[in-house]
Parts: sequence; C-alpha cells; structure tokens
Amino acid sequence: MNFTFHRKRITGVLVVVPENERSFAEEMKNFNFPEARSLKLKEVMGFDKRRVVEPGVCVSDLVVFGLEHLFDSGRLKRDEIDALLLVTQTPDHFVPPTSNIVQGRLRLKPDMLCLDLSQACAGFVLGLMQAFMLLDQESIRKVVLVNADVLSRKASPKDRNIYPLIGDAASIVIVERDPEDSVIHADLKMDGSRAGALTIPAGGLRQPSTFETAILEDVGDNNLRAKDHLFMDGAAIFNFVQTEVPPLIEGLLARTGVSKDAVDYFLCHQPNRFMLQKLAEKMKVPYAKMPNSVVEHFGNNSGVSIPTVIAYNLATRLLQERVRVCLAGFGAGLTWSAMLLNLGTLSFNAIIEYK
Amino acid sequence: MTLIQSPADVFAAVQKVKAGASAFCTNFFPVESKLQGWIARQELSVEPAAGAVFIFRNDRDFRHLYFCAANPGALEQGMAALPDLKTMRLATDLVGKDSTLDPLLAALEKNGFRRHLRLQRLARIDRPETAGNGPAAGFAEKADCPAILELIESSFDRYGEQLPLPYEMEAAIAGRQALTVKRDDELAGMLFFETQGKASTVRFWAVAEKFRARGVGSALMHQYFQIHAAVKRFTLWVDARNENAIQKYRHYGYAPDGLIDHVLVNEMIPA
Amino acid sequence: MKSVVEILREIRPEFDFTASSDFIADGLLDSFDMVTLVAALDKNYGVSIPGTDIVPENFQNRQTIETLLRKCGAQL
Repeated sequence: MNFTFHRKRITGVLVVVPENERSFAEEMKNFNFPEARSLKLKEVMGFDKRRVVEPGVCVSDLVVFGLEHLFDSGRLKRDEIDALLLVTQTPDHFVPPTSNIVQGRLRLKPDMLCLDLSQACAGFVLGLMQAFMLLDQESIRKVVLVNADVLSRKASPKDRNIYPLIGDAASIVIVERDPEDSVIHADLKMDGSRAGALTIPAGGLRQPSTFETAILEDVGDNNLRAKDHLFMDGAAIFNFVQTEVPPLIEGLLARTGVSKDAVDYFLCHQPNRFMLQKLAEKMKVPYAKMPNSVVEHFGNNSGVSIPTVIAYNLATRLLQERVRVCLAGFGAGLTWSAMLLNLGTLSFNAIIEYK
Repeated sequence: MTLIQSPADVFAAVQKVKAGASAFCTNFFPVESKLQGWIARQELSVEPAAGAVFIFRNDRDFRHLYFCAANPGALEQGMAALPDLKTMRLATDLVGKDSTLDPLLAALEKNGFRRHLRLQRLARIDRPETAGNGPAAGFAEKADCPAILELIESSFDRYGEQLPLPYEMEAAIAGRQALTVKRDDELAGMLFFETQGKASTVRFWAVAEKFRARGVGSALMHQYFQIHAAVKRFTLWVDARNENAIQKYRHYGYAPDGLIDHVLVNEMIPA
Repeated sequence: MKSVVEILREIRPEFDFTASSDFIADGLLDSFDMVTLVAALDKNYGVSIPGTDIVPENFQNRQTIETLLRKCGAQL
C-alpha cells in the first residue's frame, strides 16, 4: 500500500535508555552457555550489551522522563504539543491509554490529541505515517511521536532465545510541517495470517492471565516460557524479513525513481547484526550504508530501534546536514514498511539515560 | 589391498572418486569417533579401482565391504575386478528408501552378492507410559562384558547387525551406554544404546531365553526411557522379518520411518 | 580451507556430526548455531548464503549443507 506525504519533517530525536546495562556473555552463563559460544554469537549477531528497566518501571516513566528533559532544556514547550502519539505494545494499563497517562502526569493541555498505537518493531514508520496525517489538520502543528516498550518485563528469564536480546527504551521524535515543498513516500504491507510468529499469548481477553498462564512450560529446545511471556518464532521471522523486506524497499525506490546509490542510509529496525548484514547483501548495499550496531549496545529495543540508529549512528551529522534515508520497520502483525525521506537538520539528536 | 594408517588416507581416497563423478554413490558414512578406533586397531584397508574405491573393515570372521563409486556402472565394473570377492567373506550394507537402492542392488547382485537380511528403521512417535514396577535395571559393569557379548552374538545376525567387538563393548560399558538386569548374578537381559544431543538409538536389546516373560525386557526399556527423558528423537534398526521384536517396539511407541538397510553377503558366506 | 565437518566441530566441539543425519532434529545445532554456522561457511568458502536459504531443511546434514554451498558457488 502506497502513501505520499507532503511538507512534513522530523525536527528532533531523543532516545531514553535505562541506565541499567546487562552483559550477554554474563547472562548466557545462566543458561550453561559456554563463553566460547557467547563470543561467537557476539561477533555474528552483535549480542553484547543491552539496557533494561528496573522492576516496576513502565513506559510512561521513560516517556515522562524524556519529555521533562526536553522541557527543562528548552527544546520543547508543554503547550506546543498538539498531539501525543504513543506507539507501544507494553502499555501501563489496558485502560486508560498510556498517552493519556503521560498527558496527566505532565499536566499537558486539554486541547490536544492523545492517541495510543499498538505496534512494536514496525511502530516507528507507522507512527510517522500517522503523525504526518495528523499534521494535515490545521489545529495540529506539532506532533510528539513516542515509541516506547519495556518488553524485557514480558520475556521469560528462562528463554535463551529471547531474554538476552531484548532492550527497553523510549524515543521522542518531534514531527512538524515542513515549510519546504518536500515529499515523503512510504510503502506498507500487513499479513495477519502470520500473526502467530510474534505474540504474547495470554493477558488479553482471548486468554486472560491466570496462575496457569504464568506457569513456565518446556517449549522444546530447552527453553521455558509461559503463556504470559513474549514468543518469537525466530526462524519464521528471519525468513519473513529476508523474503519480504528487500522487495518492498526496492519497489519503493523503483516507484519513486530513486536509485540505491542516491540513498545515504538504510535505517532499519535492528533485531541483530546478522539479519541486517544479510539484508544488505541481498540488496547489494554496502554494510556502511545499513548501520547494524544498535543491538550490541542497547539490545533489540522494538519500535525505538530506528530512532536509536538515528541518534547513535548519525548523532552529530544530522545536526548539521541533511541526508536522504530509507527507513524500514518490520515486526509484529506481521507488518513490514519502508519510507523514503530526507532527514536533518535536527535541532536535537541525542540519547539520554533514565535514572 | 593396503592398510589404512590415518583418516586423511580415507578422505583422500574418497575425494579422488568424488571429483567429477557423474552419479556418485557410496555406502560409506564413517562416524568419526569410530573411524579413529578402526584405524588404530588396523581394522581398515583400502583397494582402489577405476572410478571407485573399496574399503574393508575387519569383523569376526568376515569383513564389511564399503564402496565409493563415480556411478553404479563404475561400482559394478570395479567390483568385478576385485580379487578379494572370491577369497574373502564379505558383507555389505545399502541404506536408503527402498526404490532408490535398486541400481546399487543390481550392481552387487551381478557380482555374486545375495540379499541376506533386510533391516527396518523405527522411530518413536508416541510416548506411552512405561511400567516401572519390574526388576531394577542398572548400568553394566566391566565384568559383565563377556556375558553381554555372548547374549548379543546368540541373539543377532553377525553379518547384518554390526555386532560390537570386545573392545567396542568395553568402551560402551565404560561410557555408561549399557544397561543390564541380573538375576542371581546371572545376566538376564541387556540394552545397549548410543545417545548424542537430543537423539538416541537402541543398538541392541535382548533378554536371555530362560529369563523371558518375566518383565526383564520392559524393565530395561523403562530404565532406558527414564534416563533419556530429555531426548526428543528415538530410533533403532530391527530385522524386518522379526515380527515379534517389531510388535514389542510398537508397544513402546515406535513405528517404521521408511528407511531400509539391505544387508548383502557374497558367495564365500554359506547360506 | 576447512571442511564442513571441521567447521561444525568448531561450533559444537562436544558433538560428533558424522554420527547424525539430521543435525537439527538430533539437537546438535540450535537456531543460534545455524547463524554462527552460516557466518563461518560464508567466510570459509567466500560465499554469501542468501538469507532466504537459511532454513532448517538446508542444514539437516553434511550432504544438504554441501548442496547449498555448491548452489552458492562454493568450490568443495
């Protein structure tokens, strides 16, 4: 599905990561995983350090912290926020929306739109699309797009395939109208028939949480997981990304008449280094153009991964320059999306630690 | 025929045949750990031919014949030129799904081999509960080795069933791969298995004649499954004619999985 | 240049891969190992195994791995 947006731009990026850092090699010792194997995985997948929240910390905590930082540093005024879009799959509650909770905690104005969007790894691109659409409303001049997840709290500590990879974070991205006559193109596909590849089975209304859904089950390959925990069918997801994402990106470039060489960076969701290297190889894009170093420092942090690449790999560059980027978000749904846009100059582009 | 001195010799000989082969065929799939043992004990010899290589492994009073050939035609011709066919007792295995083995069976039969045994592979697809209230089965001890070998040799076909040699059985016992049930210091039954990762195979399961129908066999199987609670894949090979054994294995959830092993012997082995 | 079996041995030295015809079903290779294996094969044979070929069926045993490598242009 094609989308075209006129005169919209990103003006600032802030990523909030928990101060608490864990080491992959240390954690893998709990799984009787020999150090030699951990080191190989570190090299191939990029699993090294990740950031996770302390027990009890919620998405609204990370978001409030980040927004207060922006208020305190004069980067954003409370009353400027016309829309708060909060993209998460780990809300504080089912009801009320977490965006409203943030609004309440920060005493933001009543004349604003608070909207939660349930998306994870594809959530930055989808959130941007929604933000752009909102800005067509005269009354909405500034959208605060938040992506945030605390999935470490939903990962089974006894699931070796998932637990040591997850990172928690929140990103706050300011989206506004662009005085220049810019065009942004996006493409999106969804396939709900494969939704089972990425789920948290219990906790919703289809299978409410009970003491039974908290019981760890041996799901084969020596991993223990409860129905309340995050499940990812690694092999299926890997295959889905390798199969669907390159044609989507290539189709978007073809439709817009932009060559791969004209794109400065391909900023993709960051599940692990190997996945991204294989994508780069398939698309014949040099590794340097498809940064893959977020996982090794922050873990796979869901929808925040693309803002993290922006704030980590392009920290200073985007403060001074404008670059042409192709974003690619893919994950739960299943959803896969790509967006071609110019990025920069930004008034802020930073990573801060939540204490 | 030359004695093989190192694994490298083996691989070199095989590679030579493989290179540029139009329809490479072989029945030689050496398990590395076992290969080392065979070579160390000077049990392995090689005989090259045009477009093929033959490898012989010593067993009790015969040899196992393995081949690598560029195609079935080269196998047939290479074999016809082997002098050892007329002088040595030879047994050979062909493993695969039934129909794919026909060209190789034909090549062997043209050279004086006849079908001797047909083994079927069974895989455990069900997990019925096993009874744990029989006699206790424990790990075999070194001193049990002779009795275990005797039981195996009297219960199974030596040409077809890859019976362990004394040193192999000793190593298996030392590696805690053999279970026994004893009655008054006598060996009533045994179960010899091999396990790696999440897969385990029963090499031999036998109960001495005078101890049958007394729960010895089931005690051994029960103990086998108990110690392998984490294993996901159970397989074993059984003589396809042995209805009795197959029925017993079915009782434990095993069923044929389609893989067949044809054992052929040459004219030097009497019918 | 190392052989496939040597590479497998480096990844899981505790297993004898020659004794198995289905590495994944037999629990000798898990999902992490498959990825480590592909990276090692790419490096050793100077190929780039496509991401879409990284499926369990291609890594069942030595023969399937060699078939995949040949398809990617490796000299075996």
